[in-house]
Amino acid sequence: MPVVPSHIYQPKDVETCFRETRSKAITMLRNTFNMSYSQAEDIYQDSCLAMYQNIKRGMLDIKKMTSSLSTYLITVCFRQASKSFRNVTHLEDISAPEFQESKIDSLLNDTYLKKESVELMWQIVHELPDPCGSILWYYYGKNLSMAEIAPKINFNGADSVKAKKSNCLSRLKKFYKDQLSTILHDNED
Amino acid sequence: MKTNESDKYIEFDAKLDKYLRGEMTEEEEKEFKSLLESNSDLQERASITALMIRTMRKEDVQQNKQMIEDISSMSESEFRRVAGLKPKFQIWRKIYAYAAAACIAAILFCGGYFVSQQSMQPRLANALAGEYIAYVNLDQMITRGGDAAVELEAISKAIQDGAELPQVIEKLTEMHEEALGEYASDYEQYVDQIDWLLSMAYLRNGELKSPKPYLKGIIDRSPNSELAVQAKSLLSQL
Repeated sequence: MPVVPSHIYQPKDVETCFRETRSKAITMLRNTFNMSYSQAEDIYQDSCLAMYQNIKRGMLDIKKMTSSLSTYLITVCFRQASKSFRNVTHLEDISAPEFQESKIDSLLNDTYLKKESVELMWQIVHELPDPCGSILWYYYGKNLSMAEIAPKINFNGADSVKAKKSNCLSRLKKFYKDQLSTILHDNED
Repeated sequence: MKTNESDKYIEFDAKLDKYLRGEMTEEEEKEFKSLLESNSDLQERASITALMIRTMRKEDVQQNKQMIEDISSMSESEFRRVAGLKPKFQIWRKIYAYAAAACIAAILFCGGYFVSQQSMQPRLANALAGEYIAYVNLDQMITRGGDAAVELEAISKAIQDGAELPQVIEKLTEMHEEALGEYASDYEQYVDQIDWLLSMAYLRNGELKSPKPYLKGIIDRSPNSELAVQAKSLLSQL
């Protein structure tokens, strides 16, 4: 079985992360705030430095971070841009809101917090076959929208991805339940 | 039948996403929770999805942690390089910037001065002509008589009026050459007056440099004359 597709979730160094975030942030700022390239670049630069200062001062608590560093940086860019362009408030347009830890907690009872359950899920998500692997990692791991995922996996639009994602979740659920019951049964023996 | 079941899950997954992202109203959330309580299949689906998200998110957290550690150990200049930011505006760059600005200002100032001088030149020349033209004693020339004197009187009037100056300059230049030529000429006796009028014509025409050799000629030829005194005074102002 294949592991997590490397093109989706390969470990990144800081340089790669910033290189990818830079073009994304500048494009989003220009499209949202209708600003020039140099204005967007200045805002990106100020935001990077603000983030750097926060990290140096220990103000960025990794445990409380609910998004990737890239998403966090883009959020800072939008806040900076909103300050400069006060008449425009598009913070909600940055990207889909992140999944909230408190909501995730509310759905996990003791069964799903067991060591075996957690380890099994880790193994399964790292061995998902495509296209389910790509869809689920892009959607839940990288917080991309269905429309963004479609061209990446050669699907015909967001609705196709939505239907396939649901199907993938059904298969994952079945596989997970079967595997977990086997493990728990073996442990009982 | 299967399609209906698929649709049911698609619809539920959309609700689940909305719940997990905190986008539901209080009412919707209440409704969603009662749906979970009444349907164990959907309850399991929601829990497994939540566990999957948490597992995937651990990758992000791990990666964030590593990157934050890397960044916190960097100096600002190192961070700027890695993040692809412009280098800090260092003091020597500031000095260069100020020096460049000063050079540009100097060029603009000198250029402006030169341009203003250029634009002032005709006005100054004209003013000098107006001031000095009266010094040629035309009455004395006429007293000496001759066609040349009449000609010079007409030219003097044309200069005062500022009429046909290029032609006047051309004519006076011919007269000057004839007066100083090898052959005898009626203009010989008026060579200082011709040079003086030629200087005036040039000034009237807005030229400050052209009169200089003619004024020097007057001074050299007739150093004690009243015209030479005026020529020296005028030369000092050109």
